Amino acid sequence: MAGSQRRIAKELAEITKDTPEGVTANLVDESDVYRWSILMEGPEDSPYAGGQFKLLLTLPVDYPFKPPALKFETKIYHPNVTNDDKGAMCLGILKSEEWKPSSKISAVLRTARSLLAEPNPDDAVETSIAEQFKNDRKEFERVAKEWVTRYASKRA
Amino acid sequence: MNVQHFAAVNVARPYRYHDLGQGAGEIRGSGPGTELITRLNPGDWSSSDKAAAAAAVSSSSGLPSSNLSSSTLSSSNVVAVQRLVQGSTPVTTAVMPVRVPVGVPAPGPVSGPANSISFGPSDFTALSYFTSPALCCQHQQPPPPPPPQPHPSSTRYKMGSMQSDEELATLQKLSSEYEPDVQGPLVGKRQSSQAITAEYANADPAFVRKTRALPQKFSHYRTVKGDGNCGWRAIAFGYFETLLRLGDKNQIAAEEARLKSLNNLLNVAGFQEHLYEDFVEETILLLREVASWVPVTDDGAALLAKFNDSSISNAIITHFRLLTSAWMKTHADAYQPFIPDKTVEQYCATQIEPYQVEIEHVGMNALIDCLIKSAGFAVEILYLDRSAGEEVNTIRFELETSAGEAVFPDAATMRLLYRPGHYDILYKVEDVAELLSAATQVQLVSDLESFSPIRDVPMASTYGQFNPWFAEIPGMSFVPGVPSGLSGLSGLSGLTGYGGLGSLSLMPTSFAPAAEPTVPQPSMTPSALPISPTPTATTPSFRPSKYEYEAEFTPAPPANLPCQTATFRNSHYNPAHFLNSEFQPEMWTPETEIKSESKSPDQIRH
Repeated sequence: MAGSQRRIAKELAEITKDTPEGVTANLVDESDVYRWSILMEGPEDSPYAGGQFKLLLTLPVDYPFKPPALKFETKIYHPNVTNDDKGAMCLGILKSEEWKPSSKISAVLRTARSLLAEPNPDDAVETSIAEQFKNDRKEFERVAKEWVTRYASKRA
Repeated sequence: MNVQHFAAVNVARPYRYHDLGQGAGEIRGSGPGTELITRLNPGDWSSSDKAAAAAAVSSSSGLPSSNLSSSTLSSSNVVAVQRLVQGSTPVTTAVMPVRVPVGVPAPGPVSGPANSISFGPSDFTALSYFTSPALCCQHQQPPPPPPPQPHPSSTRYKMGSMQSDEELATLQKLSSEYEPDVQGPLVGKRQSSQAITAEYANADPAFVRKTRALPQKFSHYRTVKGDGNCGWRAIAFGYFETLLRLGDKNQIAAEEARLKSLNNLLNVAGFQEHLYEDFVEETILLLREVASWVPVTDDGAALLAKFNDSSISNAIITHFRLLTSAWMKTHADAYQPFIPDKTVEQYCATQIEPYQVEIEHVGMNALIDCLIKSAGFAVEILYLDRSAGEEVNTIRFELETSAGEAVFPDAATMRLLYRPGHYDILYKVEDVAELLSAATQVQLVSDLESFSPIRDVPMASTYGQFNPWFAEIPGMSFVPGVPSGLSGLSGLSGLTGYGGLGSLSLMPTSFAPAAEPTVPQPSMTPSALPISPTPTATTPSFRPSKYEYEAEFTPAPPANLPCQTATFRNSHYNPAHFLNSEFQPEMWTPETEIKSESKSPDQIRH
């Protein structure tokens, strides 16, 4: 336990010092280092540009030996994010058989954001969106943009 | 569909699919794009078994099946043979019927599923692995049965056309989320290796033959949890245990310095210090604790407890994974030839560094090269498979000169038992005795008091006269209630907790158990204890020693402490030696006696 908290605190300090581009990270609750609230801006040159997505990063108690889980609390039209209330993101490095204890949370967040810029339809969780992404890119971008305005516009 | 992903899962946890439900079925696939026919015998299958078998098929061949949602495999007796062949060769997967003998209880301390399997009549040449649940990593506890799943009565699939992508995605998801429910401690207690023989009593004849020969050479073994880290954990545990067994504080300090300096290796390989320092720290802390446990008083129980603390244990194996990865990257020329389809860099990223990915032979080589050989230790891996031969194949890894000769021929050796997909730890009897003797020695000092009743006994002129009295001392009849021969081994593991040990322990040599348990050795019966001059004592003692009693010799009674005569003061029968913390009692080991008749008397170390 203590080991995971120490490691997480270290990574949190690193992220606040050297924030990945377009990402801000905070603890949901200051007393709980295992839940991080992430704000991610849609990358430029992608249908998600201008959107702001809220994510929840949950770290297991035996972190870093088990991978963190990342989910979108803001709805997003994306082949690699489940289109349900869970919003789970399918990220290669977060799979338990690919997770390395030497991976960092900041690397996870960077990979997640690059997945927004470049969806990976071959490893999709939403196969119909993936089909559309491959075959009808225009329509995909239209819907994705529509969802951004509907769910992910910066209201502040 | 992402076939590659399926395959990756398969490689990472090869044991997962082999432990299937009871029943019969046959599944043939003749390559991508063709029809997959599944013939199941519905009457023989429980729904969970079907789902488990279906999961195995879909996972191994990349072909779809329905009802994959039952992800926990049932653990009764069907053998799945998987042969993944690349290119145009057909992908064959068969679930084979086996005959299960009725009424065979699961023997031994491993409380797993019924461990007995015999094979159905067939020519399953592809069946090179996995004949019983015990062979699989998750053999310690059967997973709880999955909730019943509705199952279609017909299981006839066509690839592509009948399965929508959505279903495939679901299957994929279930497959990738599958977690085997492995129970039991990370590192188990040391137990008699008779348990392995018992486990395999009804297995394939090759296993029966080999496991029967096993306890004759290796008296004990220790299970390691099959969670995808067993090879790593077995080596890591063996490393610390060997240091503890040798009990040389200087060596432990030297290892601490060496492991710290290996941080440079990690830096060279590009690992960031703030990421690995936590893992390294746990290793260093445990090394220091090991040093503080010397001399051993608890038979390594403290070390076992540390290794069953997952945060410590995992940090250490992560450290060793990173070290291995760094070692491979910096010695790429040595390992690249063994990795046909990847660069060393890629191999480390996918097979060495990820947590829960089992060690393969290349990785084991690198780990031993980096960690074990430089420590001056050797590793023997005993391969328990179905190859020909009467005994398990042994491969020894040790530091060698360029001429191929061992640099340290007497290197302390740790031994692993490899069954396809899984590693456990094996012990020779002398490994155990070394750890135990240190423990009993300390106990002796505290138990000297309990020896005092002898002072009150009127000293007889010969031992023979008070022999009956002697026999009444608790513990004097060595390991009571168990037959000789076999029992020496099982009794040994419980020795430290043995209440009557103190009075017995004045003769630590008597602990050496029979080396060949299947051959009853009359010399090991209690009457042959050197101190108990039953009629057999008139014949020479069962082992040569320059300290042997003369036939008529009567040692001074312990009441005479401190000793008066120089002869007795220097004798190892003088209990005062036990107050000397440096004193190491002479030990009888069958190995050394056979090997070196000539030099065996000088085993006393100071």
